[in-house]
Amino acid sequence: MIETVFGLLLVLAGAGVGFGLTSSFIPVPIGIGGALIVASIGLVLAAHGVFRQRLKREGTDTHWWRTCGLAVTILVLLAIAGFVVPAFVPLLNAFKIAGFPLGYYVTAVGVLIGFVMILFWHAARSERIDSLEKQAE
Amino acid sequence: MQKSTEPASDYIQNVGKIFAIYVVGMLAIVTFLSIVERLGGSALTLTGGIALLAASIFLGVGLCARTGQAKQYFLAGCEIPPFYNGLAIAAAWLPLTAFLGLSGVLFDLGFDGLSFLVGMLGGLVVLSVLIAPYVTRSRAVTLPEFFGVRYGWPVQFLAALLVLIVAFALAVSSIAAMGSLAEAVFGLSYEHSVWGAVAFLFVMTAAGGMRSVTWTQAAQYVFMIAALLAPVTLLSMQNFGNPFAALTAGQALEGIAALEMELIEKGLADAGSLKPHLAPFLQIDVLNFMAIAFVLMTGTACLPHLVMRPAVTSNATSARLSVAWSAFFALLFALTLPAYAAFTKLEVYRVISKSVAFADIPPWFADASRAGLLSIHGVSVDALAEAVEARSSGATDAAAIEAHIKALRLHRPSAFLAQGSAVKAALAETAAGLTNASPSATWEAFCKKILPVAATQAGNERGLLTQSAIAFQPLGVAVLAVSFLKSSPIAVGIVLAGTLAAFLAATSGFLFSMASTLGHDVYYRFIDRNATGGRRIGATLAALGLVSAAAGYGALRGFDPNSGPIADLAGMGFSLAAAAFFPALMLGVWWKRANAWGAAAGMLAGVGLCLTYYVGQRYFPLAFYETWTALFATDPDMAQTFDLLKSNWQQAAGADQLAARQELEAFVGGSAYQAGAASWWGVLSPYGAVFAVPFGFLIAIVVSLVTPRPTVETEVFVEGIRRP
Repeated sequence: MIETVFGLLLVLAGAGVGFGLTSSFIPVPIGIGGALIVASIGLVLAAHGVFRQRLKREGTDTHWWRTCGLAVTILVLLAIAGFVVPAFVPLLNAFKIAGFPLGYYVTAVGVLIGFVMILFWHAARSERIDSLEKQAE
Repeated sequence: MQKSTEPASDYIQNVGKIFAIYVVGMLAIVTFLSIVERLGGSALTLTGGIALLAASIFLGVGLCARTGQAKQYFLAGCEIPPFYNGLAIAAAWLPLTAFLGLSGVLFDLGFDGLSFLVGMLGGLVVLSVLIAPYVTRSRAVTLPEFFGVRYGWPVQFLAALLVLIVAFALAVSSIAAMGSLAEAVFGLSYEHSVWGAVAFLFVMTAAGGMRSVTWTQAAQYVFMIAALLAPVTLLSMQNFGNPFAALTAGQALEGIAALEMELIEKGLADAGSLKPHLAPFLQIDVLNFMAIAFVLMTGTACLPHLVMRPAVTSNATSARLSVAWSAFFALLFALTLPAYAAFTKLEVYRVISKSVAFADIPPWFADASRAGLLSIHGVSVDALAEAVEARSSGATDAAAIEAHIKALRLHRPSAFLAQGSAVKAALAETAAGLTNASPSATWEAFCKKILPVAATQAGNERGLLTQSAIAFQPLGVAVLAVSFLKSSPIAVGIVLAGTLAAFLAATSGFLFSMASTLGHDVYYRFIDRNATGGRRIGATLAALGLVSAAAGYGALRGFDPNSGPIADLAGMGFSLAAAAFFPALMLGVWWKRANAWGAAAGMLAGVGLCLTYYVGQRYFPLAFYETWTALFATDPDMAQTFDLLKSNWQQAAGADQLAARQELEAFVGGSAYQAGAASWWGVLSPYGAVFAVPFGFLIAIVVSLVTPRPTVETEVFVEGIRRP
């Protein structure tokens, strides 16, 4: 409950910061970007709170909810890594790391390694969820 | 669902030892051969030796995996451990874009090519999360069978049809590409390479079916990664003294950036046309980058032969782990490939920056040029070779040579015919003195006599090689890297073995998925419901022969791997697979209400939209543009230019009219990397799945809701595959 409320508050805060302060105090791209990030964190927290509540209720299919929750989390991570990160590449290219421009490096190396890590984590977490279900039977 | 209670086959328990022996053995042999090389072994023996060794291993593994049991034949007994399955999956799917075209795409586009890599690896995540565990639990033997159990036999039939189309297109392009490479590197005739490949594939795959396919692909991965690492490691050593290409790639990129500046200063490159390697979104804009990534993600997740691969493991967790391992092995590739392209570019730019006259072009450009994969000012040495061949058959001047070439039916467009008249005359003249000349003499004559003519025609008066003069076909980059390494026969041998492995892995996957669909879905389901396991294997074997021959025939008859960027065709393959299968597959697992009508409607709608977008933009750009302008407000400049060009065309007459029409079509149709006016929000034509997939979902959902619910058995089935 608390988590949901807190999450919703963050979403509102993000929106407020973004649209209110941006034009006057902060340059537009950073303002909007920052607002989006805050709002997304808020959304995630709110969703997580709702999710936790449903799990506590009697009669819900916890195994399936957990599986769905994991799937949604991973797809969101995938979307961020695959679509949001490349959009920021021009911004990141200003920095260099080991001779690579940072934006290029993040896309060519970081995102790809990230995918592999997500996959192994997903396998481990799913195994955990499945074994919880088997114990419950 | 039932759990397997049979004990694992003997070989599975020992597979770790077998694999270790294999890898160590390969390293030992290569080391031994390097010693022989130092001591002066003949280059041909060494190169050929490694390639032959690889080929025999693959054949051997394929035959050793022979089996007569249906479960082993179709699903490898469901006992492949995830690590090895990961090797096999990676081997099966990487060659599709990576080895054959992606190096060229990365070379051309630099950063923008990364969209393909992001899409492919992301697709594995989608596969593992949304699809693989559930298809594995269903114990379906082929993808259409999964559709059949979930939606009923009409959808199974439709799916089988679509699988055959997609896999056939991919198989044909794969065989054609291999034929081209064999022709360039081995000097074999195209026909011989194609039929040799088909025969080899059949023998390798037929004996053990899926079991053969899986184990040969695991073996092939080792060669593939070696083949990719060998050239890059050598180039990295030569340039920076450090064999770890992943680390030195950054320095290579810096080197390219510096050379780019140098080339512009020396006037050897035109600032307008030189595309900085590292700049993002220069040739492909942000929207298309994301479109490519999206299409490759959804397409990879439902490529028919990929979806079934995790199913050869024992349970859902193993399925997820296999996909994770395959992503790891794919990662090794994905990290090295951009380095490969970068190093090649570095070398090419180095050559150019030395202000090299045409006569001094290094000989390692020759092989790629010979295969028509590299052209300088629009002409390549195979044009000269064609002229020489025509001369020796009696043609005496340019016109006669032209007639002679037109009378032959080459499997790819003639390089000679594509030239302007001045170049053709020069070709005809030079060819006179070259009958029976060696390839290097032909190359020399080409550089000294033909290139200056072509250069003058293109406006290059300085007689020096410029950056804009060089144009690569995507395969050309791979061939170029091999030629550059001619100093080390072992490296060339490894690269050849790896290319062979890549091609075999990819094509055997496609051919087997077609064969098992024909044998299992068509024969078993529709023709003979009571066929025993042996009969089914027999039917699949026959089908395998049939599709191999058909694919070989297709490769010979009309298909030209150079007729457009290869990335285009690969993109189209992924697009079609995504548009056809993704909505139906996803909804099948995650939404119980989805029924057969919805699935079928979704599949047809998706494929229809995808094809309309591609064919419309490619072949009927005018009509496409005019139909859709009403819906998609293009910006006013574009509309104005269009009206101007169109009125030019309508008012012109005679020869001018043709030129005006071509200009109009070029404007509307766009080029390989830049969509023209005839597009929806600037998305390139092969990536229509960006629209087709959501559209497919929409149609599938709407149709499912307005038609009756699926039966209770179907709901029980879906529940079942969701449970561990």
